[in-house]
Amino acid sequence: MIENGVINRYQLWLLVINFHLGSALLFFPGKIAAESKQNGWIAILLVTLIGSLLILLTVTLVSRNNNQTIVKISESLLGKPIGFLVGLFYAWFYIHLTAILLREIEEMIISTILNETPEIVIYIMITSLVFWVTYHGIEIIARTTEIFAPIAFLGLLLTVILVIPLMQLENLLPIMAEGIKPIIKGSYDVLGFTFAEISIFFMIIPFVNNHKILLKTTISAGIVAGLLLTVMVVVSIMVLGVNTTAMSIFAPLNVARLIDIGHFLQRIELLMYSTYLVTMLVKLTLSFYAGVIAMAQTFHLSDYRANITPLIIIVITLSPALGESIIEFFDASRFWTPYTLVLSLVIPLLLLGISYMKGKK
Amino acid sequence: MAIWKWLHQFINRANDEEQEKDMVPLSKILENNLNEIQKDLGNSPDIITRRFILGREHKVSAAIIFTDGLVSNNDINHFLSVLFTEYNDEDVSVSPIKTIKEQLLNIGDVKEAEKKTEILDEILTGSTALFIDGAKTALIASTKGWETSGVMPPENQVVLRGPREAFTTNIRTNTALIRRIITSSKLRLEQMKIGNLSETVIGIMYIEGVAHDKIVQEVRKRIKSIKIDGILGSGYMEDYITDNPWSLFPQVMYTERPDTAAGHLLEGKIIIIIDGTPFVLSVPVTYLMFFQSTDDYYLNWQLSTFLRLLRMFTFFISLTLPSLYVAITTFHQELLPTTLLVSLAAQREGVPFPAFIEALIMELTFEILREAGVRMPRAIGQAVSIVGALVLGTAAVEAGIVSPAMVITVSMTAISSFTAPYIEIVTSARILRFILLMLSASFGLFGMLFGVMGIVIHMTTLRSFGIPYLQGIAPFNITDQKDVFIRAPRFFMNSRPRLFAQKNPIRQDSNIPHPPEDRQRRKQDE
Repeated sequence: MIENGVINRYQLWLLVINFHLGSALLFFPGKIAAESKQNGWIAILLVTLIGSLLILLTVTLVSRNNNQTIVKISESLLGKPIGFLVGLFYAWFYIHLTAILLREIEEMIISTILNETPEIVIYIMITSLVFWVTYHGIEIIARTTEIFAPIAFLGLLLTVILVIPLMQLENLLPIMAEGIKPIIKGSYDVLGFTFAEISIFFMIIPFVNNHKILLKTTISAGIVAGLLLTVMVVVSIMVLGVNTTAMSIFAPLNVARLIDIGHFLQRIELLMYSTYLVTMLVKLTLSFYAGVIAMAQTFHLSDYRANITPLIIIVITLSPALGESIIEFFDASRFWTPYTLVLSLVIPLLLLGISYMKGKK
Repeated sequence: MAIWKWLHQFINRANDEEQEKDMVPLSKILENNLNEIQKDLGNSPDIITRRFILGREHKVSAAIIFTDGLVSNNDINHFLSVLFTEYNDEDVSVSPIKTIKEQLLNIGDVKEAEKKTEILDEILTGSTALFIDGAKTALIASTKGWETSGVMPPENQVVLRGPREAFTTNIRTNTALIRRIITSSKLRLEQMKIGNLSETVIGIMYIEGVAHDKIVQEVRKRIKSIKIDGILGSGYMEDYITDNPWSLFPQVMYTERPDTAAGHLLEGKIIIIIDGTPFVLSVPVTYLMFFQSTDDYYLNWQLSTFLRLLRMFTFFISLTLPSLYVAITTFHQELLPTTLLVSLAAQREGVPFPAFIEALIMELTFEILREAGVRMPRAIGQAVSIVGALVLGTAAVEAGIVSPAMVITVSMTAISSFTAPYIEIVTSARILRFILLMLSASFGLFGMLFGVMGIVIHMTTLRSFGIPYLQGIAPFNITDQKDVFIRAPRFFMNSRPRLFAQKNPIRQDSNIPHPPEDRQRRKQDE
């Protein structure tokens, strides 16, 4: 085994939730409101449903194949040359995702607080943390999450409680006035940014110490994450209204900015901001770790740690190249959903089919 | 390399030869023995040899050797008087040594020794050696007794309720203090000598069946692997036995309270006692343990819980408050309510420095005062506190060097750092505070968050004798939560911390109905 550490089911549960909240937390409401308007929350619920099926597929594929990573599975099912290519594809995807997430953090920090800081400084700061955690392996990733996730949940909860006075239920009406089409379109748009990225867990699930009730853990985590996102969307639309939500890139930040309790507790978007940063760091680390492990397994390395430095450099150089500006960067995300679905739906389905056929023999 | 190896072997061989020489048994002639011993000890004036003649009919010459100052004179006088009055040499078939050993001595610990090194060791640790002409062995009588300070009340780890006893510099007294609390036969003490010149006695104490065998073994291994000339205090050990000596966070816990040490033993921890140090080391530790004051277990649980949370909060304050202040005043003024912002700006009007420099000056000043307060002679303490109050107080504000808000911030930080029950935990905050200050001065709250995340990541990577440093929160364990953030009522503490005592986690009978009214009601029902 390339990694000696193991994680328990509670840690996996937190990882799955945190992974889904990651980048979705801040820009989901805006993105979904642009398409589905006030019915965004239905869209998220739909996404959660589809996401649960994807999780089911992921866990089934892994547990049917001896709890191996996707790289090993494809190698054993498809043979060496094709399996190698598939493994490389997955490794590339994880690295690509890391670069995107890194860019996202950077854009968020530059646009909100550190307007004049050179972006490379932010890249280096974030990746140094990622390097550190990845170097210590999955156990440290899980433990770090165990500390960060509750803080993030608390921050989320506090924000939601504090904006209760500003909520206007009318903003959610009318429900499904324009039929189901905008909802489906909205959910298709955002699917790629949370649940379809579940293919990361092809590299994480094998390190869980107890594989018995894995499905229950992962799916419940997926549903909790979906509900939290729904709450976020509902709150954003109720507080800001559909139009403002749709126009803002980081809608929940704007929500938190409106908080004003007794003219003392005001403008606490800081809370939202730290929540975002913390969950984002976990997501980033997780996807980078998956990339590092996938790369090491594809090339049959005995130690994944040698991979970290070159891949970090690739990530840092790839990140700024993903788009000239934040607009271009987000515009490129049109292709993200089909791209992720290939990795989390098409290839796993194929592999599952092959493994069933081989199993029958 | 080859030369190096050869040299190594050569030195080893030389050592072996020396050892062989030391292993030489005693000769039969008394004078030779005495001369040898005196010569080996360099004819030191504090090694006292006293010759006398023993017996009425078959007179034999004998001598005792002891180190002046390390022995109890009463014991020696008593020993000699008994020797002279009661020594009976009627039975010639038995050697005098045997006779004395079996019949006469009413001193606690007596043994025969035949090797010179052993005898030298014993003499130098306060025993008395009795040589008799014609005998190839010497008799070692334990007459240890030197001036020590008695059991005093603890100075640093003060509690409101609870015993007022602290460990002393004598290892025997210390083990006795613990044995007096835990009388079980399961309490184990292992002793070894570390330091090839100081030969400091080191004791490892644990409760058999409660402490984790692997951890005990690891502790033993790590202590035995220490090759040093002398151990003068517990701090000498720390660097050798911690998992990560590069870390700023303490990985062993010091306590000067026998009751705390006993509490640790009951949780399955291992205690290391070092002769000459009134502080006892306990391992393994987790980070959150440093917030558990001994008082928590003596006061009622609601108050204890509150105080414990308060301590954690104040630790966080002492770590981050200056950097938070700098970040908010320089980067995120919008976070402050407008009135506060205006008054802050008015205060800072005359201050020539940016907030960061201001904070740095004040923090450094405070650290200087603190160090001065520890090092200076007691007599001039007042002078320093007066000057300190001026520097950190109104005078500094009136001179326009710092703003009043900064004085409040730094004082708050300082006070917060004194709530820690174990002083070691503060050291990490004292240094990390400056790093966070620099980060927040350059990157605002993002920098601070970055620093805090870095600290958390570092702590998750730490281990103390195989136990994760953040045990309790990461990895999270629900049954351990009764004594991490809260101090649950005693009747909920049914099990020991999970990782420390895996073999025997049951602490008390969980079937007892709780709380006690329940019990009474049940009786009435019957």
